[in-house]
Amino acid sequence: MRLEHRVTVDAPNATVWAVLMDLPVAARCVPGTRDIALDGDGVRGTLDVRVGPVKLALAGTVVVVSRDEAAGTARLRADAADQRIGGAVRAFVDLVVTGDAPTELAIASDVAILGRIGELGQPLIARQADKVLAGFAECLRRTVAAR
Amino acid sequence: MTQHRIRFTLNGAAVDLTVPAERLLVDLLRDDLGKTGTKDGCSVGVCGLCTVQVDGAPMSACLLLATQIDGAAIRTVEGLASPLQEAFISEGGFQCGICTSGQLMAADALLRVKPKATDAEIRDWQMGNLCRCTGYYGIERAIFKARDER
Amino acid sequence: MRPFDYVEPETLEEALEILAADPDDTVVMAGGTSLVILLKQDLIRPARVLGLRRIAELRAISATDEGLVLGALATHGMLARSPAVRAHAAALASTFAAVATVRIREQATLGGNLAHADPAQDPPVTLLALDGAAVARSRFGERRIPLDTLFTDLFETSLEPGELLLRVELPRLPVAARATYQKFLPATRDDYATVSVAAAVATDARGACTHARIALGGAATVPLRAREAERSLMGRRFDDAAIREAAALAAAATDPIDDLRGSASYKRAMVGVWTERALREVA
Repeated sequence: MRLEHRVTVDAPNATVWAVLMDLPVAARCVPGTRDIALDGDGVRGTLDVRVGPVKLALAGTVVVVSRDEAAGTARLRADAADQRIGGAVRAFVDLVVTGDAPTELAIASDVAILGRIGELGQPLIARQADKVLAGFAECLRRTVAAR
Repeated sequence: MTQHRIRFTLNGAAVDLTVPAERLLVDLLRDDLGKTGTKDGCSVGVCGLCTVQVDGAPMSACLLLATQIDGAAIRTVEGLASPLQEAFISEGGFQCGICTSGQLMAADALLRVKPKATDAEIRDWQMGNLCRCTGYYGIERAIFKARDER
Repeated sequence: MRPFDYVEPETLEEALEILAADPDDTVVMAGGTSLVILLKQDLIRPARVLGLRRIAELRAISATDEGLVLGALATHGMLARSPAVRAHAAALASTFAAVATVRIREQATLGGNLAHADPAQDPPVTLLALDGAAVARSRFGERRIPLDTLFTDLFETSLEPGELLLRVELPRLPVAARATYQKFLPATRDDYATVSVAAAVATDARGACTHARIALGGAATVPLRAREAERSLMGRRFDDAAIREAAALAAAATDPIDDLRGSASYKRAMVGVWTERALREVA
């Protein structure tokens, strides 16, 4: 499943880039995350997601696969498994940071859903992702403004 | 995990047994009581294969916990003796047969409360009983015939 | 199915105690049509299921001086057949009669339908257009929740842990109000609607709108009131131009989900079409 989101941040390009590449800080900006800690080159932690009576706790890692600061592009890989209903999420996330004050962030995610989580259905998962991203964008703006 | 004593009637005969909380009516009927006329199809209440009558109303046995029918009168195809069955035979109301018991239990529930149901009412009522062979004309003719000959 | 404990109290007070003791690990079952599927799919793993079926007081449907009171355990079938429901608004009875199949209607309840908060459901839409309010109770007391604040997100409600939905209350409709529920079903009749629209409108002797309610289903993550559209009608002659303007405003109020029943933009366009049809129906 491919998901695309855009976030505009009224701040310098370099500040936005720095926050995004500070993985523990960026990860804590994702609503529902907890127990975020450095893990080698990346971070590990848990993302709690609730859809009505269905509760997921996605525990896993995010690493930077590649980055090109000059071009403003980076590729992240996220792997997480859910212990509550069973299933896993694997995603490649491409970030493209362009412009400067305002800075435009394009997030393109290629997401594979495995196991029982898939029962929730793609439309519902996509809508949850939109909600999580809206929260992330808001936190990103706050964090950047504070730097 | 908990066990529950349930008492109900199945095709008029009293049943008194103990079931685990998670037992489904369709499994109780088929596996515990050997009444395999009720089929398990989609398992999510859509196809109508597992239609049984609960106090006269058609319901999906795959969506009912056995505990929910405590005190109820359950009828399955094994307890059906109706001109509907003859009509299904004479009108070719089935092909592979897997939907037949559900079709019969649904149609019987309607004709009991509405012996003069219109063609449109019959079609509307049977809408949730799917026939994978798409043999709907035969099914419809059979139910119309059973109604007309009552 | 994974094992769980089942409890079936005889009274509301007992049910509230059981729920309060462990709200996070207790799920409430009314009819069970949606809950049993979630259990089968192993999407939820509660320690216990709290069955309400023995609490007979929750089954009552009654007309009062103030309007209509619908018990949470009333099934869709009971509500569709109820003379009191029909007398209040024929569109409400026909809404319940249009849900899924006869088997589901005989098992599924009003309270279960509302608490499950599936955004594609029919009854919440008509109940919203009829100014319905839910009444919920916990050990700490009773609370009235207007339906436009009950639904908060996909499958999410503003019910608190430990609260049970007891009934829905509908005020009397204004004299001369007409109501309708229109459901767009491009595939099969037992399907969820792609979009649906409920409208309740009253006009005065000169043909001006004195009451306007428009509610939308399948138009967002929750059932919606199209408030801008309603406002555009108030005090205005209920004619063709007014209807078309209100339909456009209703479509503009939507934020639909892309799914098998249509893309977001298709659903938005269909809300316009079906709002227009609903309003013509009550004109």
